[in-house]
Amino acid sequence: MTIVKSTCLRKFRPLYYRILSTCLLFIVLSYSSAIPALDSVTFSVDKISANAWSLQNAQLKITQLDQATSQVSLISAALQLPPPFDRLHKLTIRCQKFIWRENYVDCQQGQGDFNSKDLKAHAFDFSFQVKNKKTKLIINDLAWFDGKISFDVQEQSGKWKVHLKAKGLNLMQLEPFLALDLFDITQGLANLDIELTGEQGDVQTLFATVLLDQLSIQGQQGDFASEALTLKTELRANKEEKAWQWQSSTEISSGDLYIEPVYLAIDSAHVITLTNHGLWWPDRKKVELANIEFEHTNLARLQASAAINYQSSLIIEVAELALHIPELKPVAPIYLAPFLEASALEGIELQGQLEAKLQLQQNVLSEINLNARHLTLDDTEQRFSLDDANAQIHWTKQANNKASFLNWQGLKLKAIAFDPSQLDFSLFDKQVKLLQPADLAVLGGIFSIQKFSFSKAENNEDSVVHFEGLVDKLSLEQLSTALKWEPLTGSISGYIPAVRYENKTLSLDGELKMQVFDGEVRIKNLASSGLFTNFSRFYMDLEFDSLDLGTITRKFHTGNIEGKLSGVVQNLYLENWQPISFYAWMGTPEDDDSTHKISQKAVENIASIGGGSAADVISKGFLSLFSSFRYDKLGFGCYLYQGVCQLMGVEAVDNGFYLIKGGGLPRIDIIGYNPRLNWSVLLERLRRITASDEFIIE
Amino acid sequence: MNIKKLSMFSVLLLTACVTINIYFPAAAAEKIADEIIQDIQTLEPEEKPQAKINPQSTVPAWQVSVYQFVDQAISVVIPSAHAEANLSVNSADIRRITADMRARFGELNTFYDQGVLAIKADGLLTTRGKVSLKDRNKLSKLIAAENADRYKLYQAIANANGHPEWAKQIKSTFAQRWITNAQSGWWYQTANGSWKQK
Repeated sequence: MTIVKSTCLRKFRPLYYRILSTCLLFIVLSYSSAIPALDSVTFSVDKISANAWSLQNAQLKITQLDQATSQVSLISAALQLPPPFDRLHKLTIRCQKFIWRENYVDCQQGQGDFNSKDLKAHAFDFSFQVKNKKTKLIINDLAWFDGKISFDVQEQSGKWKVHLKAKGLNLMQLEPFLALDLFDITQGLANLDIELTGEQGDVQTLFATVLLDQLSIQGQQGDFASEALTLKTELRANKEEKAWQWQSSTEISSGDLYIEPVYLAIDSAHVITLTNHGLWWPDRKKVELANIEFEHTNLARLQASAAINYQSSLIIEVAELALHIPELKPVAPIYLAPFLEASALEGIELQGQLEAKLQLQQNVLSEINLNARHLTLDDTEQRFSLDDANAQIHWTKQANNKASFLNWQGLKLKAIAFDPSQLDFSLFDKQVKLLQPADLAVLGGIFSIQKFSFSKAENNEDSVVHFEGLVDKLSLEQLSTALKWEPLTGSISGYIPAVRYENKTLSLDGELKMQVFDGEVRIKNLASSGLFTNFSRFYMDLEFDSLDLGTITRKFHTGNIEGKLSGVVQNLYLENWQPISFYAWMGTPEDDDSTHKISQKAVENIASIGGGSAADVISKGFLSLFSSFRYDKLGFGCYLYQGVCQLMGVEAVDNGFYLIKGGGLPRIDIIGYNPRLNWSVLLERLRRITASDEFIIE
Repeated sequence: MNIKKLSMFSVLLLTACVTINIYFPAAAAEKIADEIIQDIQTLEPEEKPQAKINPQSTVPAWQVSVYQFVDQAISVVIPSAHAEANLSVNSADIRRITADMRARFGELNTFYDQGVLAIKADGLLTTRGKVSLKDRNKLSKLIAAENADRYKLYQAIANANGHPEWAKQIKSTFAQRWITNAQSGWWYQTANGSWKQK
């Protein structure tokens, strides 16, 4: 037996194993020719290092040299591997059958094992062969990461092929070696089948099949995560001159996926597939996505193509996307609702079919073509709804000549229903323009939009609105029924010359006229903000002109009064339809020559506003003989401020004011003495109308 | 002699003047914080009666500025007296913000009860524990909207009282009151950073 000690191999260069084997062979053969009886060789090395590798305290032993097949063992105290792998201890490699001759080295039935801090103790089988400049290394059943890994490496004349198979890898154990910055793996198993071919240092083809099971990840920013995901992806890529051509397909067949803000519950009926192919020029830092197809089975399909460069920053030079949604009902809660969460449009439900095409240029959306059919839109807050609508929307970033339209069989804003109709308009950038006047049938009348355009200001929330329109004979009866008011009769007409939108407030110029109670009510300076929010606000001025009190009092069952009523409500401000402040005055017009009569019941009711009671006096006195009384004029005013109504009457008297000043016989005066009244109390009294302040009968 | 009398009179005038500095009314702030929080956190099927609203017009901004300027000018030369003001919560901004918060509370309450929504020591909301992927977006949007509204509310209260600079103190007062008014089972953060369940 001969023992050889050497430190000649201090530095390794690439193709370490070939050099090592050649060197060993040379030494062994040299000694074997000098010593015919040699039957074993031991080769000891203090340290061999190459780049990030190093082998320390190694001992290579070859035995049974005098037989047809020898045995080789390599025992090393430590093998340092490049990051992320750590230091391997007690590395032992044995060849049960080792054959060598010229241009031929063959290691069969190889076995190896080692210890590692991270990888723990592991054993594996291997074989190694060098034959006519063709090298082959096979490692089987390497027990890493709770799974099994096999390698098949072949090399000949600089061309090489690596085939890696892995089964049942625990991704949590693998995570430290993946250097993942974006997310943490909390659970998952992986099966891999990866085949690489190349020449010298270049990779030329890559075929990979990756199956991930029970994958749970958590994005570090919380913006994406998965739970128990089953994902299979196949990638085929080959290098052609300076570009890589690839094809890939990915299928997610089960599990939960969250990509902010979208949450996807994936099951066998709603599998997600993503296929794509394209070209990648690494030198030019450019990617051409010839086709990407995303399909959420039975829900939606998205096809896209794009040209991307990432020379200085990521730029989508051009992209086209086509979206097909056969039925919006199951899709909207998944893909639309998350974007509307906690916004004014939260709670919208959609049905219908949707086709959309989008174009991007230089990272900017440049064109949208959208076709919606049989669209139904419902709002859970019942603010608006759309029934059986069809729309073709053409939007471009630049000026657009294509017309868009939206028609419907039913449209509701709050409780107000519009008949079937259509709007034709054009869209570009942040502008909308009505292309032709639209007469919308609503409440038995017409809401006619003569002109309309809308453009959003660039840097604030205000908008420039041009509007000209009119309302013609809207039925007050239908309006009051829709809004669940006391039924009214009459109509609303008016001309609206302009509309403004400033400080989130929509203001209407012109006036609306309501022909109601045989008189007229005019609404001026109408403005609103937060119309569809939790806090709607309205501002307006009202004028009443010669309303017939007989019609009004009969309608509201307040006791009959005959005569006319005119007045104003100025600076009326409402929050959620509740009056907050106003100045109101209503009373008998100066030139009113109609009959002025008031019934007993009406007397009691009007007097009750002040807080007293007139019922007994009238019913028990001689006036009970009269069913009604004459009056000269009546009037009532209220200045609402800080929840208190400052009351006014038709004329001052002593420390009070006339609410009704009598005239003729039998005559009745009603005088109020309480000039201030809490608004909520006043409302309650108006509701109950059962008490009276004071009245004087002459 | 006349000059001497005049000087004496001036001194008397100056010493007779008292500047009234309006200090942050901590007790009143706690009271209105409780009222607002309890109003927001009351689950009712319908809107609360508007009769509770006590409208008032705010003092014009120029008047507030003048008052503040005069107050500061006098403070330079005249000893101060202390006074504590009441807090008003009557402004359209406050009513608008609380209306949104009231509408949002129903959904927040569900997450409070699940233990995935918690009140931080500063009175703002955060997630706690593992939030299901299904609820993650809704909860994060709710928290973002609620926290934004809380900041707006504090500033609106400060503005409604003519002291925009009080917003920080109002936030601090509310921080305690959100926790005090937390319901049984809700999680909150103590001053030392630990989490407790009510």
